[in-house]
Amino acid sequence: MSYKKLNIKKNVMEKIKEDKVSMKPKFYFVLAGILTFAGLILSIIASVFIFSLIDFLIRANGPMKGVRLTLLIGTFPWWILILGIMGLILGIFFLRKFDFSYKFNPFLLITFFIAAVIIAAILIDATGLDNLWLKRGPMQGIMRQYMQNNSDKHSNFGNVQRGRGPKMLNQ
Amino acid sequence: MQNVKNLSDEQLVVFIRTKEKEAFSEVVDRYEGKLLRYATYLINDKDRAADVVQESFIKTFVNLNGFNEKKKFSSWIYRIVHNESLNIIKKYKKEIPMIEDFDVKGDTDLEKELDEKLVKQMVRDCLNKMDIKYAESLELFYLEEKSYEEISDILRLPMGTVAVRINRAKALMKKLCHTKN
Repeated sequence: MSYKKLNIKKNVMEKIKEDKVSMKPKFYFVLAGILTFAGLILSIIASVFIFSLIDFLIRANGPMKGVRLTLLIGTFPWWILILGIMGLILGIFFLRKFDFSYKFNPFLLITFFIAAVIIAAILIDATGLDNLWLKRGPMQGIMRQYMQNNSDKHSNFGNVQRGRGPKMLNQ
Repeated sequence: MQNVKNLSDEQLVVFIRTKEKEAFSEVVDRYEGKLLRYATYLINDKDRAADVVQESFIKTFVNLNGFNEKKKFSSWIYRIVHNESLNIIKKYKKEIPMIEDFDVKGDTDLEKELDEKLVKQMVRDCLNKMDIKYAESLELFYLEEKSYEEISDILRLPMGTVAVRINRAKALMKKLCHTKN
């Protein structure tokens, strides 16, 4: 093994001395850390709002029973659900990038993360905080279009009360 | 050049980053043997293990600014070798050569040397039959003498999982070696 040993040191140090390899700057790692953190925060925010929207849409279509269930399945914007799930997957991906994450049981960590996002989404929908986002945020146009289409089909759809507050979507 | 031999691993990294990159040779001196042994255990091929270690040293140097000096350097560099080795194992999955000889340090008599070789060969045979996730935990704990915390940092697993793997590996080892003999 001694021949290889001599070669490894020689090869590595030659590359370093001749500048064939160089250290990535500190800034690169700081930026990567910031981007990972920003990615995690953004995916959490996106997932929470998308799931609160799903929670609202389920209630907007009425209780899940009988004929209403068919209506819900027929009109539900499934792409929102897919977006929500993608947000969650992305969030888990970013979460796993952090140094501390492997110290915890991955199954518990992921379960806790999904539960936290869904609970936050339900709370946000219940308090009506997402109303602001729907009125002013980037989803405004898309959701208005969706609600408009549905209110044309089902005359009382657009007048659904939001959350626990006295809000109307088509105001 | 400052006498880098007296520096701890973490101090040495700071020295290389801020003052003299050629002091990296000290890192190679400190870890080459250990990493070669570890990679050889994982890959079962001395030449490929040497390539893995060389590549790992280069990656270590390139990413040196990403190392947090508040953490243990040895766990970090073992982690790099672990990742590189797994890449090679995946790449050459079908070929699993056996190691033909083991280095036994020399001033013992021939009989003792043969016994040591035989025991090592038996241990290796048993380890080879084991799933790598168990064999690796066992190797790190007994052969590399790493603590549970260090193994947790190297394998990126919770400490509880490390403990479970080592216990299972011990039970498996007992079973495999017992069956063999």
